[in-house]
Amino acid sequence: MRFLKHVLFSVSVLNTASAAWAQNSQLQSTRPAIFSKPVALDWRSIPWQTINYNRLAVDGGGAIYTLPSSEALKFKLSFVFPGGVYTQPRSDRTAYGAMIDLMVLGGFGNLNFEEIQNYTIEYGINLQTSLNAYGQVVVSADALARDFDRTLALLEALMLAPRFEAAALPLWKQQSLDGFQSLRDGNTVQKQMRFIEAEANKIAFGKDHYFASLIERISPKEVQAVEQNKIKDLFQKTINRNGLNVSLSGSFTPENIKKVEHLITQIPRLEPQTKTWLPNRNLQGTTPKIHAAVIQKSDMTQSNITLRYYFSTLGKLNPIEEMQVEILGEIFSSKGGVVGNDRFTKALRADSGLSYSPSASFSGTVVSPNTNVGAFYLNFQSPNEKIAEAVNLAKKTWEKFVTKGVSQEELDNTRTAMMNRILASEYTVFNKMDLVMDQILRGDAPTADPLASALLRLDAVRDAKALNATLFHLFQAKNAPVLIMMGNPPEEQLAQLKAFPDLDLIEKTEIDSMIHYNAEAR
Amino acid sequence: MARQKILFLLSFFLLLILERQGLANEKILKSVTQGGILPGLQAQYTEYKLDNGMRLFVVPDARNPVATIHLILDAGSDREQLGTTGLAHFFEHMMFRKTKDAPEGNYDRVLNSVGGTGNAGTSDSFVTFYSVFPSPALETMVALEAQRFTHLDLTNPFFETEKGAVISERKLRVENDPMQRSQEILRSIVERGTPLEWMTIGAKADVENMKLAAAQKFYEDFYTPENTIMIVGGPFKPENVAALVEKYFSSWPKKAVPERTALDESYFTRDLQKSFVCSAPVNTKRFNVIYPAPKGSLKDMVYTALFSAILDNQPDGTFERRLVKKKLATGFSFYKEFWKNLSSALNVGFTLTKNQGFEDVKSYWFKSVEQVLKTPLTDKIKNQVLKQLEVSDAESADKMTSLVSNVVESAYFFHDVNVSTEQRKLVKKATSANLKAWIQENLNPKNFYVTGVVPIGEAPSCPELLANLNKETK
Repeated sequence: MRFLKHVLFSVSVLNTASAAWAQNSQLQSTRPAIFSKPVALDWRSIPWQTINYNRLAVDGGGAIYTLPSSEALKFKLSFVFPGGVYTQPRSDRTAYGAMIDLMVLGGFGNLNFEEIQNYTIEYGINLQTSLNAYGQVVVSADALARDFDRTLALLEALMLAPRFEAAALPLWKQQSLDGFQSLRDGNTVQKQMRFIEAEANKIAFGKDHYFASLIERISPKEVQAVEQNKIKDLFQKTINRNGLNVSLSGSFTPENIKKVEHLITQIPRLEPQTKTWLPNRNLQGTTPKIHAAVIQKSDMTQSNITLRYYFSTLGKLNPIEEMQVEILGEIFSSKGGVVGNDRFTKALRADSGLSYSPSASFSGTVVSPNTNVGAFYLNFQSPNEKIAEAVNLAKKTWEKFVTKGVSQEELDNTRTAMMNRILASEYTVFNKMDLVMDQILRGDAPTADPLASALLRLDAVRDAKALNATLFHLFQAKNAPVLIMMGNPPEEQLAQLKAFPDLDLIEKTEIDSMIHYNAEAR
Repeated sequence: MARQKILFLLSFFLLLILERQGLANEKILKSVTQGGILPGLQAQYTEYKLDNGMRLFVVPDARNPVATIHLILDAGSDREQLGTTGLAHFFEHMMFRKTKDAPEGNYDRVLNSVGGTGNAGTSDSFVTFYSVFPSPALETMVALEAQRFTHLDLTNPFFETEKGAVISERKLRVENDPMQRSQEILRSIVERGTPLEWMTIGAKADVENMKLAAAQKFYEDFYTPENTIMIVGGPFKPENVAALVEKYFSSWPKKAVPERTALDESYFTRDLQKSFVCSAPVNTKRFNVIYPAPKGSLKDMVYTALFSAILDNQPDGTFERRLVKKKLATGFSFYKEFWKNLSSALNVGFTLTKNQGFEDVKSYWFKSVEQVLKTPLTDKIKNQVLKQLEVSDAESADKMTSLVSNVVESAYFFHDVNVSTEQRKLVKKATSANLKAWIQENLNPKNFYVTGVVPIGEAPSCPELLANLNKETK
């Protein structure tokens, strides 16, 4: 119901996603509603539905992956181009972002942007250009099945006949600057995390790292410097069928696939491009002390904080270790949307009431592609006047976890809960296709039965001693701990933090020093 | 397939036969209504009513072995009083902490152990709790929900500890953001004397001083079966779900819900043509043109969409695009506050840079409304809105959880599950004349007031504005 806007005060955490299921399930259960121990489901007897996608190679290096559904009323078509922003030199990255927006805003075919907007509204077509997690350009559209041809015609014009109208660039600059101002002023966690990310990555990887320049490349000075010719040049280098991956899911016909294939043959065939990681891939150095910094923002009564442990080898785990780390992450901070059931939310929220939404997670190679570095992130909030207490509590909770390990009971309960949670996945043809494409873009062979595969790997982690051995081996290794606090902590709290023997405090950064201004914009 | 499934279920819950015997002794509820959820699609619902007044909707969907439970209650912040503001939201937090005869944190631990995820939300007009879990855990989850709705144990130290989390949430959502802080003050001005005067999260002092007794009274008054709608989705026969819900919720005693006092008629006219603008440490400006109106109808929703479609349908772009191109504003929003129990204002929002002036954009807005009034309602516009409904329905039909969300919204806000069909009928019936009449009534250029937040120096600060108005009132 598009008309009905959600007005919830908190945000839902709903799982999505599997398997055809017979009608008439009974409602039997005599499990007590008081927790004792999770009961494992016999997942092996479930007739999991495999994901039977097709791959069609297209001459010139492209491929179409299809996954049909007789139930879906819509289709979704995505083009993922090779190369991407990570292949671009630092000086071109802002223009690359502009190109992605202006592929639509600049008009295409015989339509200007306003006509495109009116047309897509009239026919309920959702047309998007974006960057994926690998920095690649994605052009996608979804619509009702009967609007396939008109949608494909739009995509064809977008990719083969862009206009990049001159008037669109100043308007894009104006909107980007307005958006940046809103980012700078906004005190929401989501907005501030972008500043915190940049600062944390600068300390961990150095100022030249792609993720360290997150704020710099959307700053007013860089936005104002973008030139029309550069955008056109980047577009010419991007639209390439050599390495192009196309996915088509939902409701479509064999005739539709042929039309997509025909469109791909019209896309230029250029040199092959691979994902490249240009910035340096090494940590600045490991240290037993936490390198801490404050991003000062005087209008905040509460600070947003991240405590990160960057490990130089954690990005290259074998499949067994990957699953072990996932379970360890769950024991430390559950993704189940429940409070107090794990070490971190119990300490920071349920027992102390310090922080409304503490969360922690392990990040492998997705966030830092092509590096060996993996990181454990602890994100939380604290009233400015209690920041030393909150940081200390987060630190101690982590230290206890990595030095004392986990119990057999914690492992058993967590493994079973995680396996049960997989059974609460709600599959649609569209998120199945997303799973397939995610594996393809990572460079993995897609698993036909991803849920059963995940269950099998989880089920194998049964021995707490082995799990603790991995925990001690991985998390007691040398690492680069980083603490970033964005807010307005009083000097007295900073003095307390400085007194922590394991903390190297403190660079204090004014938020505006992270931004590249030019004279007019400031 | 069925045999395999029964084996699986047996291994999970062990006591199928006993349970079925148990169900056989339960009272069989008769369905009140049955019908389609979305026009032309197979999705169905069945509605039941328990003797204690609780309504139950079941949405059978066998595509995945996954289930969901939603509970929505008329127990939002418009049920609070001055001095205990924030109680509805605070109470939502407490619903996760402790029930009688169970240890603290039991709800979350059981939910997590069955592989479920869940959350809750509070607004000024409702509170909702929801979870998604593997379908064989249905009885566990129904029992768990019944436990907290019928036997909540409001107790310390958990009550006091939870205050800390709510205070942190308040800082995160309101105090830390100058725009939100200002909106809180503006709301206290324009909604003065009504239960909409405070933000859902409540005043800081009220949250800090929240008392157990007040929470207990709120629970007794508003967490009652007649005030609750439950919606269950998953691979189930409706009658089996109904039997389970009857088993666990029928002992919840029937109790009349305190009546809500309607807003005085003067509320809708007292501030017309007034402007409440104040300053804060912000670099962008936010203005709202508000057309007060009593509780709206589905027709209002549809006509709002038709009006928007005409407003946007110009060769030089949507209304928002035109504002940006003309450098009048950087953002625009337009919506009917259909979810509110007491009023249903039309709200028009503008975001401006510090160099842009509100009078310019306001004038452009009124001219544009006039232009829409002169524009006939064409079949193209009606087909466009019908298409939007069709696309939206196709997306809802994609997942069981989306279908259930659709039923929650329709049943609670419009008291009619088949809202989509009704919307389509209203679009088809709409004419230029009746749309024009609706615009003249709802977007009358004399029937609005303005709120605004601007950078420091351009207006009195928001606390000063409040103090000045209080002085004038005295």
